[in-house]
Amino acid sequence: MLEVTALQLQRGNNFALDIRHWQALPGEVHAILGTNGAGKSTLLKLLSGEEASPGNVLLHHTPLQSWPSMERARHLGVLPQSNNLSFAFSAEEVVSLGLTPLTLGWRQGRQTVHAMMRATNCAHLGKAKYPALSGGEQQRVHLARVLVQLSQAEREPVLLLDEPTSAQDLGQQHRLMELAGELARSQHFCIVAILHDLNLALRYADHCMLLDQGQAVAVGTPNEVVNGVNIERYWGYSAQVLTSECGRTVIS
Amino acid sequence: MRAMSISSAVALGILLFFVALTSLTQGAMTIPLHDSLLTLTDAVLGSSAAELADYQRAVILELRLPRTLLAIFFGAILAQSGAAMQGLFRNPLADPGIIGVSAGAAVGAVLAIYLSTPQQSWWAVPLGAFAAGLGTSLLIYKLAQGANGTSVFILLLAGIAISAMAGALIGVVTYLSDDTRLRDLSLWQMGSLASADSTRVWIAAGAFALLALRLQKHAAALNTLLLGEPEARHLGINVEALKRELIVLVALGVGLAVSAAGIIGFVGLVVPHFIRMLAGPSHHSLLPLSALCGGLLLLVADIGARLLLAPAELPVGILTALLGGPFFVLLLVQQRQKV
Repeated sequence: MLEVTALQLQRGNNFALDIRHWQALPGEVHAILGTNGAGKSTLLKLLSGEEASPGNVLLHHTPLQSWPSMERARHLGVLPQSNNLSFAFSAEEVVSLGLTPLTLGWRQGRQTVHAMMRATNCAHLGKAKYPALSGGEQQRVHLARVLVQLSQAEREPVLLLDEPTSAQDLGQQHRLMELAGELARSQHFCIVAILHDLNLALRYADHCMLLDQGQAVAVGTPNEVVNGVNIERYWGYSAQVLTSECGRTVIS
Repeated sequence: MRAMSISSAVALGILLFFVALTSLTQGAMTIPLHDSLLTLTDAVLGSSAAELADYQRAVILELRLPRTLLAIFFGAILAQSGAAMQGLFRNPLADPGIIGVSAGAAVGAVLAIYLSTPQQSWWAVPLGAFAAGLGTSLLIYKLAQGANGTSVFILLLAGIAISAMAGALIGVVTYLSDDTRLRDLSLWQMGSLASADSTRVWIAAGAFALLALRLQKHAAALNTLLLGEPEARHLGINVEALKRELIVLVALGVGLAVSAAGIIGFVGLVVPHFIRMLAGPSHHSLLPLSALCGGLLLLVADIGARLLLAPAELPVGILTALLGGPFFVLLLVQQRQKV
C-alpha cells in the first residue's frame, strides 16, 4: 500500500502541494485528476521518490527513503509519460531493462519479458528498433518494462502511471485501463494513475483524487468526485453528465 | 545481437593480432620479417633463433613492442572512456574531452613543459597533465551538481567554458615560450606515442584493466541510464554514485593517456559510434568491443604515423583525426538519411 501523511512542498510562497492524508490500498485503482499545473505530476514525483518529500510517503508502512534501492525498485514502478530514448535498442531490449533489479536467471528473465510484452500488446514489436516505434507503441513497451520490474515483488507492488493513455488510440486506451484493473484485482497491484480523460476515470478507477493548486479538493469514488459542479468549478467547463444505457455515468 | 557481438569480437581480435604483428615488424629500420618474428618468439621462449644484431633486437623489443602495446592500451582506454561518457550524457556525440579532461590535462602539460627543465620534463609533463586533468573534471562536476542531482546540461556547458579558458591559457604559455619549447609544445599537443617505454606500458595496462573491469561491472546500470536518470533511479540504480565513479574513472584513464601521449582525438568519439552500428547499443557488448576497436584504430594510426614519412614521424593525433574525421562525417550523413 501507498500512504501519504502531511505531504507539503513549498515553491516560493505558495504550496505546490499540500496533502494531509491519502492512501491507496492493494487491489485499488486510483485516478489523480486536475487541470494543468494543479500538482499532479509533482505528486507523482513525490510518490515515486524522484523528488525528496518533506512529509512522509510510506510504501508498505516504510518511508520510501528507507527502502533499499533494489528492493524498492521491485515494489514500486513508474510509467513515464514519454521517454526520449534515442539509442537504437530493440523493443525487447528495452523491456529487458526491467530485469535490472530482479534476480532471475537468463531463461526465466526471457520468459517474463515475453509474457509482459504479450500482456501489454507489444509482443509483435520484439525485434523492432525502439526509436522507430510510434508514441503509443513506445509507451506500451515501457509498460511491459515496468511490469517486468514488478514481477518479482514479495508484497503487493505499486504501479504509478503518468497519463498512460495520452498517446494511445481509443482501443488501446481501454485495453490498457482494463489491464490496469485486471492487475489490481487478480494480482493486488496498487495502481495510481494521472488521468486527463474523466470518462476513463469514471469507468476504470475505484477512487479519485481531484487536485487544485496543490490541494486535494475532492476525494472519493469517481461518481462523487467527477460531477457537474466540480467540472464547472475546476475546469471551467459546463459539462453534460449523462447516464448511458448500461447505467454508467458519462461526461459530455 | 549476441551472435553479432561475438563475430565482431572475433573479427576485431584477429585484425588486431595481424596489425600488431605489422607494427612489430615494420618501421623506419628495415629488419627481415622472419627474423623479426623469431625475435618475438625468442623473447617469449627464451631461445635464440633470430640472427639479428643486438641493436636490431633492441629496436623490436625496446622500441616497437612497448609502442605497439601502448597504442593498443591507450586506444582501448580512450574508446571505453568515450563509450562510458556517451552513456552518461545519453548523447552519442559526447566525448571524454567534453568533461574537460583533455583541456585541463593540456594546460597541465603545457605548464609543465614551460616550467620544467628538459631533464625534469619526462616526469613533470605526465604528472602535470594528469593532475590538472583530474582537477578540472572534478571542478566541472562540482559546478554541475545541484540540489536535484547532476545537471547534464550544465555539465556540458561548464565543459565548453573551461575548455575555452584552457585554450586561452595554452595560448598565453605558447606566446611566452621560446623556439625549442614551442616545438615541444606543439608536438605534445598533436600527440605521439614515441615516448613509449616499459614503465608507461605497465601503467597503461593497469589503468586499462581497472577501467575495463569497473565499467563492465556497471554495464547494466549504464544501459538503464540511457532511459534517463529518473528511470534509472526507479530501476534501483544509485545514479549519483554511478556518475561519480564514471567521471573519476574516465578522468583517470583519459588524463593518463593524454599526459603520456598528448591529445589524441576522435578515438573516443568514433569508435563507440561505430560499434553501436555494428552490434547495438547495449553496454555489455559495447564496452569490450569498443576497447578492441579503439586499440586497433590507434595502432593503425600509429603505424601510419611511423611509416608514412619514414624516417620522419607524423604526430599520431593528426592521423586519428584524418582517419576518424571523415568517418565521423560519414556516420552523421548516414544518421541524417535514416531520420
